Amino acid sequence: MIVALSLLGYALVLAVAGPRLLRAASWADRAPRLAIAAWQALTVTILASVALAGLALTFPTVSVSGDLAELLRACVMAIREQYASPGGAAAGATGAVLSLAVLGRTVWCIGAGLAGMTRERARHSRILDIVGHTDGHRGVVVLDSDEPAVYCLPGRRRRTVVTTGALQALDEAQLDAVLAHEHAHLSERHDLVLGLSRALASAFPAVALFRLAAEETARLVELRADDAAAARSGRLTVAGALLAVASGGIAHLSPAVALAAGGSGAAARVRRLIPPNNPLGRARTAAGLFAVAALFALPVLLLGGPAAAAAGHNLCPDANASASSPAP
Amino acid sequence: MPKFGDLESAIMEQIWHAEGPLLVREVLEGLDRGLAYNTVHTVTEILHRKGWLTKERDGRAFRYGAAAGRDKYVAGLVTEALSVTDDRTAALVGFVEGMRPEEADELHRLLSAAREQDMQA
Repeated sequence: MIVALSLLGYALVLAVAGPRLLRAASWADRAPRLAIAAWQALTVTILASVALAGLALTFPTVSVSGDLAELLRACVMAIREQYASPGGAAAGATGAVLSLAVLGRTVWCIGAGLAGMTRERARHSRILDIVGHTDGHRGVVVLDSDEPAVYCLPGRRRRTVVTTGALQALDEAQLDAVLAHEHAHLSERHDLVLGLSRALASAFPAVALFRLAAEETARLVELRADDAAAARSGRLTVAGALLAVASGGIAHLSPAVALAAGGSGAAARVRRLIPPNNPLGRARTAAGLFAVAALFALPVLLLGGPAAAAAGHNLCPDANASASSPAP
Repeated sequence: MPKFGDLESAIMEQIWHAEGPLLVREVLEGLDRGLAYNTVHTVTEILHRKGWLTKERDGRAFRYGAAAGRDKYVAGLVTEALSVTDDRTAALVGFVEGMRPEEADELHRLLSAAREQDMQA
């Protein structure tokens, strides 16, 4: 019970404190890759903690003894003991429902998200095959449209698509930067990162954190791709390319962008690129990575700690003598 | 023999450029690739089944016309690409969304100032 409650408490603390730490931090924009990892770790750890809490309620004592037969027997005895009392049975049932609900919903929504993504991409790709022209020299597909737009189709047949409007708006160096940006999206599989965070947001719409994580991830993958492009073409070239494509596409300004109080995401990206580069130092990045790893490790330790301690005890004193052979 | 997708694309190209619906024979002549009639006929039928082409009887043969203009398909793709920010599935990953004109003006000024500084440095 204590293990389950601490795991739930941990999830709650993460859900409340996590976004504050990550959002308030100015380091996120300086180390977008680390920040993406942190958001992913945060969401996955919260889910895992809740699922493990359910597990801890259902299976009260888990022995980590090396002997499988003994382990099973110990488990059965412990479970029998717990379910003998009505309160224990209720807690066990609640735990099982909690675990199954969280895991089932997560798996289902990720599966549905991936399937939807694949379907939509295939449909888009089929039309693109017929109406797009392949530019073998640049390795892109060109669409005849005055609207400046650049995007990529991730997946097995990954492609970058550029409209003639965008080709007109960009000079050679800028186009090179844009292609480096899209290449970063494709090679780092940002579509999967985005797909996961969006699937979690749709799986648990009541949890604001998941929606926030999806929004932040979408913003951060763009910063990461901008950095990759800047490493190749220079920051000001990338800023110029962003500005050229974004300011040409005003007609399609989506309402969400128009309503954003602090200016659009595009403007923020250009602003970020104009001053000299200021990436997060090596020591701080390492510290950040350590924190991300610790985030993951804690619930496992919470669950494993008491179990490891229990391994030293005889779990089922009433069972026959052979079951009480010394555990390692 | 060109790739199947290429042929679909070439046939649609022919029909989009034509004045009106075409016979398979006319498509074949326009393609000028030395393809067999049956090949072109099969692919044209596939395009009809997929909803790209309309089909109307003309004597003993059929005439195929475009179900929609090429621009309409392109516009559809571009709209999808530009709305990726509120796309729930991440099927596409866009480069950048739009920007307000006054924002763009200000950033253009900032950027030219930064470029000048770079030149001087």
